[in-house]
Amino acid sequence: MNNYLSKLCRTIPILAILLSGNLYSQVDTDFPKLYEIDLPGAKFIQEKYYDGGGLWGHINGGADLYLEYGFDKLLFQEIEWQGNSFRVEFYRMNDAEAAFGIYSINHYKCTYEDTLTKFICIAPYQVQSALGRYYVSIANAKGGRIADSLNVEIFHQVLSKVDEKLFELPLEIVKQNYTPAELSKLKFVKGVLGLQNIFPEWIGALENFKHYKLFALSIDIEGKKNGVIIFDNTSDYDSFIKNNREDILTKLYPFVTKSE
Amino acid sequence: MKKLIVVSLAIAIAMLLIPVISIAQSTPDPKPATNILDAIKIPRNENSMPGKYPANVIQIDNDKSIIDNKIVYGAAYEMISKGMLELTGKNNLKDAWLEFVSPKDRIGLKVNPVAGPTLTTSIEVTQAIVKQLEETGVPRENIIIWDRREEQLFEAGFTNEAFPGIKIVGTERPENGSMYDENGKLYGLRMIDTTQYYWADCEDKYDSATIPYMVNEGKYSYFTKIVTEMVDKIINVPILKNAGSSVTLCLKNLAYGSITNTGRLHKQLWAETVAEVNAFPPLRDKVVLNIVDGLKGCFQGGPGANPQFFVDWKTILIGTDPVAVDRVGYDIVIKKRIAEGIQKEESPRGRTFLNLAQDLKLGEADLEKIELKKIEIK
Repeated sequence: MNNYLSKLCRTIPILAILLSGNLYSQVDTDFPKLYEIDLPGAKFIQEKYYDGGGLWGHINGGADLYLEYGFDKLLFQEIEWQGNSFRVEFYRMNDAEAAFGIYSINHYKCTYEDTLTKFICIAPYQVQSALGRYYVSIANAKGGRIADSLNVEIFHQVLSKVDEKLFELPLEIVKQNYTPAELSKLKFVKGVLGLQNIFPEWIGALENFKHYKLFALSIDIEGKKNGVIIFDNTSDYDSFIKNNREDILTKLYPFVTKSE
Repeated sequence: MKKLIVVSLAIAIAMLLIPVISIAQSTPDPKPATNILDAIKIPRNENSMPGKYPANVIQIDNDKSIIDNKIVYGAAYEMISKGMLELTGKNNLKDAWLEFVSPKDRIGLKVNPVAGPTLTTSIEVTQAIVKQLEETGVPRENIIIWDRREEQLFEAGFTNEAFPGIKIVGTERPENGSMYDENGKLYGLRMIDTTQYYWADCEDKYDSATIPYMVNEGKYSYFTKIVTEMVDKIINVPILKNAGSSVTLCLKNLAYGSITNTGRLHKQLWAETVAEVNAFPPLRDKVVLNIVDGLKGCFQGGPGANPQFFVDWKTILIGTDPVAVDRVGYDIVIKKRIAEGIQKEESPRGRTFLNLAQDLKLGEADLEKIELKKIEIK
């Protein structure tokens, strides 16, 4: 096992301990942020906050997706540390579900991932996590063993800053007993932009509904889609059933539900 | 407390037997009207899209265009050279460029820096284009590098140091560190041409943090003076990126980069805006060439992707027909998305903007009718 993987394996138990209950209390005021004392020797290049539609100023059209889920505020920090440049982003969403939604769409090919009880993805170039209302991304542009290890170290510091109750998956998903590998493919979508990103084939069925939640795997199992669509009112639910009879009967949607 | 009712397959079958009253939510919302008919009425000229080589696309691949994660300037220069010669059929590079520009033209290079220095139209490709324009006799003072947001141009590396003697300008621009002048008006307002606009029957309210990036509210999106006044010809240099299960390439780079008040357009009129704004003369009649920087790009998360979605495509696409170029680029991106498991299959909805653009006679969207020539540099 190479050094990088060894370090990663040592890191995972630490992450698990840190995440075993509520996260460490935050020392600062109302928004988590990193300080120079957290990362000895680091140079903080820039730090910007973005509220609401101001997210356009940071990621342009990419902001739409965050706004669709329900975006509150972002802190962006650019940090130089040990010869590497890092972009640390704390996206505070309106609720933990929204943060999970963004995380579910953004994470990909994780070297280490925990989606059973926690939401952490460590991948080349980037560490991502859904920590309660916060979707956190730590990214370096260089990649490689050293920069990626530093990503993880920065994430340790992030964990100590965020005190949030973690998102809990809907009971209907928990009941499915998906394997960890399957669960790592779980995506949460609540609007057309999310569909465009992950499930374009479902746009036709869902684009005219405004209030639904789709938790689904991005992979088919035995030729069938897996997940749950939760409508929040009877008329939408009825309309969906009416318009998708054939798909429901043949290959789609093992669960279509409504909340009362 | 909310109670979830799970509907089984059996119930779904039962639903077939029950008459169901038509539900309003199942009817698609009508698209807001736009002023596209105004654009169609304006006569076209010899430069109008799809330009001199309709339905022609040159794809140049070069495995050595990126070494140690860095774009090789010489490779980019060679790729564009070979592409230009292939597209025009000329024997020398100067003649090839003179098909599209003259030394007297004021030329705007429309780049895409919105995702920052790691995912921008590359400095190397842009420098190679500038070099070839210079070799064609175009003086540097006649070249402008532009986009909507001036700060993003600088952040992505489009600086005076990298491009000495070349004007670098954005519509949304600060002066002395502020987006507002002494009268509290956005500097961006000075950059827009209120006589030329895209009107759409939808609007949005922007908060104080957002308005500097939108310039104005209401139902009008004004063209920037960069395209209406400051340049005679435009060379479009987007980067090969996805936008959801579609792409942000030639048409998107031009449309959303040239007008104000775009926030209101994304949700309801994304495809329409991408196609229709290009049908207005400031773009339709000035864009003479599209050079897609496909050396680096992304296949998910665009326009501002996370690093794990970056990909070294190591390719450049060249053509005068923005619809055809976008169609070829779309294929590249979607195949990658499917291969990576991001989406299972191609969704025709991702091509809606291409079909709309074709209907507006801006180019060819049918892959079967596009002549794609591939060059591989070993």
